[in-house]
Amino acid sequence: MRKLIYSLSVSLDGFVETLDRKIDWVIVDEELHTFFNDQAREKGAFLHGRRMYELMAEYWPTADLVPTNTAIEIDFARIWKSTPKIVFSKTLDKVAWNSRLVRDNAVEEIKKLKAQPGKDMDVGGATLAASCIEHGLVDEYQLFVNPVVLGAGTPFFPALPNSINLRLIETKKFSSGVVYLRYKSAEK
Amino acid sequence: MRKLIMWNLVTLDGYFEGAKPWEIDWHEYVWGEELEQLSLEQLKSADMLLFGRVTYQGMATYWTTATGETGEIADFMNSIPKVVFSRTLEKADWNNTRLVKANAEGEVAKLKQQSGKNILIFGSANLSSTLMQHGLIDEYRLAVVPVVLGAGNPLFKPSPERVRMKLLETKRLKSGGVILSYAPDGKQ
Repeated sequence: MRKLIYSLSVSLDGFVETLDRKIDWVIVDEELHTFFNDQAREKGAFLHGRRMYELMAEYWPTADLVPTNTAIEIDFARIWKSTPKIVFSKTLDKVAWNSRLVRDNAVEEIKKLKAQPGKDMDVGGATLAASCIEHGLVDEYQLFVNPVVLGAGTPFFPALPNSINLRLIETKKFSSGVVYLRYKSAEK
Repeated sequence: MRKLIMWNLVTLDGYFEGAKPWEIDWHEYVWGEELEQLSLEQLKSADMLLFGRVTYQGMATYWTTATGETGEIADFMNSIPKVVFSRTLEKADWNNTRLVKANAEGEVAKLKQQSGKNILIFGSANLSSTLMQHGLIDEYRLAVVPVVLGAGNPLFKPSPERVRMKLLETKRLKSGGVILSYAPDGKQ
């Protein structure tokens, strides 16, 4: 059974973006970007909601063609393009860059994907992840806690009818002040 | 200049208590000898506690009732000078308490100017929010508990302004809790 990992940068007050969807506060220096790349490299697939797909597709497909971009960025661009992506959206017409569009039954599709052999999968952003969490599909939570209190925004975790017990499996302090907290679901 | 330190146990989804007041049974996940020791050291570094009304009333009941705690922490809690900020509280009976009915920000600024040891604030999320917005909190110490509650009372209240922080320290507890300490950026 493949693992589904939900991994995002969050503010200290638990938001992944501001109310007007800004992520200008998210720290992505060389140290963090290298870490993100190494994690992405190990994934068998990226599961994206529409907004996340659009955000990624806006920048990464051509980032490796820009000579002034850093080696780390160029590396990530190649990882993103070459890793199979499944995009869950009822409204998108088509997707590109090694992506498959799924319009309905996201939860069923994700259950099927998890049952397939292969490397672990990453889900993002918060809207798609919320569905996954509600259906007990997320095996690991990875939070990159940024040293900022935003005051409002889209939360990393959705409201839930029951609490989820977790087990801390890893922590890492980055020189920028970002703290990486990695948890697995305690029930698994 | 005394330091005002906010100390709280907080769930991974940012709540300091559950949906019902004083729903804090999830503290058990991280409470133990290690955290008790740290709490005691923290109390010994201080000579004053600040409270909002709700936290004050709950703590007063807890620490003074016969079936409550005994021992060093209880002695500290009961004897240490306390200030409760409330417009509506008529009297504050817990040993060694001063009641302040207005202008919390002004009063706290004055207290910080006095010489003395650290000042601590627990719970008291509304009061903390006011003090935070006035730049009066010098350190935020959060013990992140490995649980997603799904609903509750957020520690950080909605606010129009971002507050940049600087990470001071991280400490991983044997229980799976992680203590994160921050100072508002520019204050260290």
